[in-house]
Amino acid sequence: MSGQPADRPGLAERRTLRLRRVEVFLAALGALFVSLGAILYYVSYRSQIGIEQPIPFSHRFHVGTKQLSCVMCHPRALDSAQAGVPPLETCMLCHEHVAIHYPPIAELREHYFSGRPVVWKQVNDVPDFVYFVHGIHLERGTDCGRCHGDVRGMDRVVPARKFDMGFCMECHRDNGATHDCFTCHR
Amino acid sequence: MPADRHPDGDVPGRGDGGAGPTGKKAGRGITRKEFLLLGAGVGAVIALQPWRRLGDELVSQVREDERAPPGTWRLFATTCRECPAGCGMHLMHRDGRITKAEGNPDHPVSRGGLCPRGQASLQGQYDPDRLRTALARGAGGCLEPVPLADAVARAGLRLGQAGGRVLVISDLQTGTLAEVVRRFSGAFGDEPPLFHEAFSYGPLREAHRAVFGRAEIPRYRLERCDFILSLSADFLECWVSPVEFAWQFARMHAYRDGGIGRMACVGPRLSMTGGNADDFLLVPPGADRLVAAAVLKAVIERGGARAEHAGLHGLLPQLATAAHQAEKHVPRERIGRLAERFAKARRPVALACPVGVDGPAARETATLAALLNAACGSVGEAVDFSRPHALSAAATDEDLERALSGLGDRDAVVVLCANPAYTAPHLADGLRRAGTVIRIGTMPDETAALADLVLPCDYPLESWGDYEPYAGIHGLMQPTMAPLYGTKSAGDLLLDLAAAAGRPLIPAGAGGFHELLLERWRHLAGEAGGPGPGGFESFWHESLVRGGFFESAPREARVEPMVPELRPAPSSEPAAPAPASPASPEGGPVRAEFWPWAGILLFDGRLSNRGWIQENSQRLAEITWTNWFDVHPTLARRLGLRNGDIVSARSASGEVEAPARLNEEIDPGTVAMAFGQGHTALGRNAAGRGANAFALLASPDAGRSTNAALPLVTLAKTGRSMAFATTAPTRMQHGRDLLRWIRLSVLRTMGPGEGVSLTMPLPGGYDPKRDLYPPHQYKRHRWAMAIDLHKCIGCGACQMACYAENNIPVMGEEQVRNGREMSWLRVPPYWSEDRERIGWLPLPCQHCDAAPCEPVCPVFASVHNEEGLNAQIYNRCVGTRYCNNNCPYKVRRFEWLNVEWVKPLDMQLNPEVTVRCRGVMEKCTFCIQRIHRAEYQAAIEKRPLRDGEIQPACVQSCPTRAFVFGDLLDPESEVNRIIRTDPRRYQLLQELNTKPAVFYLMRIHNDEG
Repeated sequence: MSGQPADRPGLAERRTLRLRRVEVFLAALGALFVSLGAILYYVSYRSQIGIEQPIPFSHRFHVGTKQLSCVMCHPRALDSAQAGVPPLETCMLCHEHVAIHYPPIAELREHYFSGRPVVWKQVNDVPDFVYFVHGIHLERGTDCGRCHGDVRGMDRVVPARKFDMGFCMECHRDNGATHDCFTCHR
Repeated sequence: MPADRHPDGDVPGRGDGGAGPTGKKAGRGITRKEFLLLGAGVGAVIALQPWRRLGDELVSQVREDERAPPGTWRLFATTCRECPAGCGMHLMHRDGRITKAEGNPDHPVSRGGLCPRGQASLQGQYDPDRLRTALARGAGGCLEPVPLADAVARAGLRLGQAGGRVLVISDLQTGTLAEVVRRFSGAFGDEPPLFHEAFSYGPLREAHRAVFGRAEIPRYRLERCDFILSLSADFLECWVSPVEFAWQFARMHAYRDGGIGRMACVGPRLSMTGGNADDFLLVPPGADRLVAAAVLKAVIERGGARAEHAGLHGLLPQLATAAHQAEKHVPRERIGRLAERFAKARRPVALACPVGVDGPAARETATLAALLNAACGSVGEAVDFSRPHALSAAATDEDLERALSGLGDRDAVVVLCANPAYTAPHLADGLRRAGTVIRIGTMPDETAALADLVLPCDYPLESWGDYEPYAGIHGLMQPTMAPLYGTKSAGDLLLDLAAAAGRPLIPAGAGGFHELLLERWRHLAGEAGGPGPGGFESFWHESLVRGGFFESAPREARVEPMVPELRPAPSSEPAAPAPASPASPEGGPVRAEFWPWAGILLFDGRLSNRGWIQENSQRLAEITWTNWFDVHPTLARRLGLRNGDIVSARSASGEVEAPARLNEEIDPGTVAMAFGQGHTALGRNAAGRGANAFALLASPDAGRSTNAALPLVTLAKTGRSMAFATTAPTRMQHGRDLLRWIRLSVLRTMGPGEGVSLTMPLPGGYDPKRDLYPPHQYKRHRWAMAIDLHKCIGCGACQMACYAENNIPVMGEEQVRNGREMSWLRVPPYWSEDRERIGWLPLPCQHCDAAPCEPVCPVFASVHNEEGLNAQIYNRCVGTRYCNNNCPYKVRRFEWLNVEWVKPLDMQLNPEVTVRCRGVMEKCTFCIQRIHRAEYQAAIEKRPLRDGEIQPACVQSCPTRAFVFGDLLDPESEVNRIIRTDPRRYQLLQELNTKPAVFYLMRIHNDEG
């Protein structure tokens, strides 16, 4: 920005410069919005969306909106160690008739009729030297949400708690449950 | 290394693949800068990669399989086919694989027990050396892999074109598969198939034909006896039906109403059976018949009351001669006492015929045993001919020899599962002469090695089938998991083969072997009085769940005509005493009689490739991974042998080399060796290990010793020696009183509750004067175990079950030699202080209440559990081994190495037990996973735990039910009742005040009579 008259830009040139400034300003504003949006997305929403699954299944919709019970699809949690994923047959209890043309459900039905299993991504897991048994915890009245969070708000399930030993022991202490090492480690 | 040298004489490689010390470019290497850049780059890539975990996928089922929901255990009942005994098994199945074999409590043969070989069937299924594809001999003379369909077509073509005989050799089969084998054989000619078993009991069947007119092996009911005389018949190891005899023996030998049954054993080597005998008589091979004659003489002389004796009196002069000869080997009064006991017994039985031995002496012994059984009236009672054993249909050694001699170019042989090239090596040449040898089997064994075409078949645990160990006892086999490889069942392969040869056994399009099986069982259901109200479907389903269809109605009608036709055939030729070896200079060759025997683990060698079988010690000798010659010290002195020196033994048929084990448990003129080792093929664990005892036996006629059908062998020292990989450094107790005996006469005077006062592993056992630490308090349970040593026969089934259940690794011969075997439970034998009796001490962790291992652990990895167990927490263990050093029972094992589970052996791993890595201490947990499973099940079903509901693997497997597991806090529990009342109770090393939760019941020394 020197004041040398010989170098003063012409009107047209000045207008271009101003235009450039506006462009830069707009770009900066845009970038700000995008990054703000991204930050909002990652901070607020992304934390509640889990790993992508082969077929987009929404726990929020099935458990939250449609109010299905957890054990409708995971009945084995009641009496065995692992809750597991339901057989496709269970999905077909409804989707035999419901929303059969919705593309992901059509894909699911395709899996079912061709006898190909769906390979889901595991979300919740404990280390190999920990032997957790669902059945006995449910029998003692533990709520699923205690470890799995509120899946009614999760489209794609996220690990709501970090399953470290402190988390287990805290709950065992609060409920007067066993502190025996052999309970989980063998 | 001239090949590595550079043309200009410089040696390449220095500086290659890394920077030189100065950082200059050296040859084709990289500079330090490049190296650092590369390193940084790789590091950055690794650091920036997202953290990934393997195995984080969940595969959904399409339709729910209610028989096997994911993550849960299911039991499949099937029949064990590791030997001809045909015991019932339950296979524990989870997520598509089987991990553990257990005894089937509903099976009339095994009654819930299972022997170590049955346990090891899993390692047969998952054997890494199993045949995976068909093999065909290629142009170069080597076996090359070909698709199964091709191999079947080729084999069919060659069979169809074979101009000469078509001989079918199979291992012993009954039921549907036997029927298919017969029809297959019939389609190619009129030669009957041979059911070849290495142990076919020819002499026993021959004797029964001579005496009873029936060449059969009867069903023995030893539990009804009060005296068993075993004439070299090791009925607790491999003889006919060992699990069945084990529970029968335990029952007859148990202390009841102030007495116990008695067992006497006569033989040339102290076997496991001999170790369990109340009286053991060491005699040279073949001299057991002289003892039998003496006993028979006494029975005839005493038993005027028994009508059958009339016909036997004529034998007395012959028997008198033999009885006189017997006194050369055994003192007269011992024979006299034995004869008297036998004659006085209410229901005695005589068992004869060693495994794998044939010849006139064995036949004569068997005949005398049959006469003894007839004379004392045990036929129809303890010796039940109404249900003959399947082994009665096995081909004899002569049958096999006859069939295999004279094979030629135009002949074809189909060998199904049997391995004659190993069990009858002298006949392998005869087999090789056949134009075509087609092998159907699961392992690349010796017979497969000489075959032209090898067709892999399903392992019995993968296939449908049935097996009838005794007439009317129909065991069912069902696939317990999907086949591992693209194999077919043996039956289907035979059907395909016949079809490919243009002689189909079933109409085209008909169902395969499974359909034939169903057809046979429809017929069976009809025979059994109709399939019942549910129709055949429910009959079939019930049979599958039960493990078979077992006729329960006694077949008494067939017992009646079994009055013995007395056609005794004891030869009167004078028997020579123990072979008088010519005096030879020390170290020179020495002649001795050869005594082969079969151990409970290695059997006839078909299981030798399994790590569990090799690593578990051979009973009594406690040697692993090899076999050996038992040599008496006097014989060893003549040869100048020390323990472990390798001896060569040459018979007329072959020569083998094996290390000598010096001990006094063998006849001085005899050397003994176990069958089962010395494979040239079969797989990585078996090939080239030990020596093949069958090779010495081959031709019984040449070089036969004077009083047995067994060959004389010439022994020579080779000058080499080896160290045995043993698991028990001593069998002496050194005054520690670990394994105790109580005299029967003393026991009789004791009432319930008398005996040693125990230090209970409960707060009640706390004594402030003796204890350093406060007592443990228990709220719900205090687990404990009682082990009846008198019932323990030392078979080691518990140990094998522990290997299977708890993912115990196999370490190999070298590590066992270093004392690093990992077995959590061991069963060491111990002599009594006077060396008169031997017994076994099953030794799991004692789960002490004042456990020495616990206070010394610096990281609290060894801790006391709320239910009384000594827990070892692997993820906390840092491997100081203080606990091991402080354990007086030495039941802790340290993982010195990371063990590789060769695929697919890893499929056998129990998913409920951690696979330990190097640097971790591990030990018996009383099968905590089973305790938890039962506890949770009870909690979910809202009921208290039932006593006996929890069965640790060792308890489940024990054929004699020597173990009792239960809760000390439950006043009604069986374990509580036993330790409260049984006067035989004691604790191991009680003086150390460790307060063990394992209680032992003393063995009973039968000093009566």
